[in-house]
Amino acid sequence: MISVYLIKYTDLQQAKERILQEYSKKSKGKTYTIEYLPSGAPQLIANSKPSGCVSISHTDSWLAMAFSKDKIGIDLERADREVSSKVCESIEKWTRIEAYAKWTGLGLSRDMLFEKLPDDMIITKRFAKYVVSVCGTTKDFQIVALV
Amino acid sequence: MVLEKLSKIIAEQLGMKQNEITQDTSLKEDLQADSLDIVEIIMSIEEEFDIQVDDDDALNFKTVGDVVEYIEKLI
Repeated sequence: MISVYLIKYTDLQQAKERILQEYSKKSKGKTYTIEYLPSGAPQLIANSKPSGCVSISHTDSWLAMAFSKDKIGIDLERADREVSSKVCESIEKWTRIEAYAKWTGLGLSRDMLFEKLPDDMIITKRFAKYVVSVCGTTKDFQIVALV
Repeated sequence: MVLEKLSKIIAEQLGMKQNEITQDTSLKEDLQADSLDIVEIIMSIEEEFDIQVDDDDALNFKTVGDVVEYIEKLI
């Protein structure tokens, strides 16, 4: 199951902690924190050990965090954000590329702009003025919006 | 000259004033550029200066000055 949490924020760190608290409630007594690897990728920690996977994206005071047992990548953008054609064809395509790049754990490389994406692993959805893409191997997907 | 062209590229991408961008401006903290901004900026640099920016080298750019130095070595 991929769980995607969305929250509007004024303080980004507090918003991350709020989402972690909500996710912890659903996870049988585990308390989650996040540490960052040297690559900059976030690692989900429970009881001082790596425990599942998380990906984070934020834009325009919206924070999105995706949780999964397996590797996961998420990207959130404003749907009206311009992207030049030399980069890719649309902001939706960009979110798919970024979600995939985060899923690999290696970050974005130029090749990813041109190579075929694993489309069956990426879900793209629009909500309000935004577009979000999630990349992962699990098919079950839920979105939780926090207020 | 490189700084002037580079700061114009960055300013256009990020909607800033060109004179707000100096050699010491940090890409992450001061400019708050995200991945898409960085890719757009790098591709514009490549077009403007007719160079190829290596992905691994780009990871090491911390300030605008780092980018100026990199471009100057290649042109």
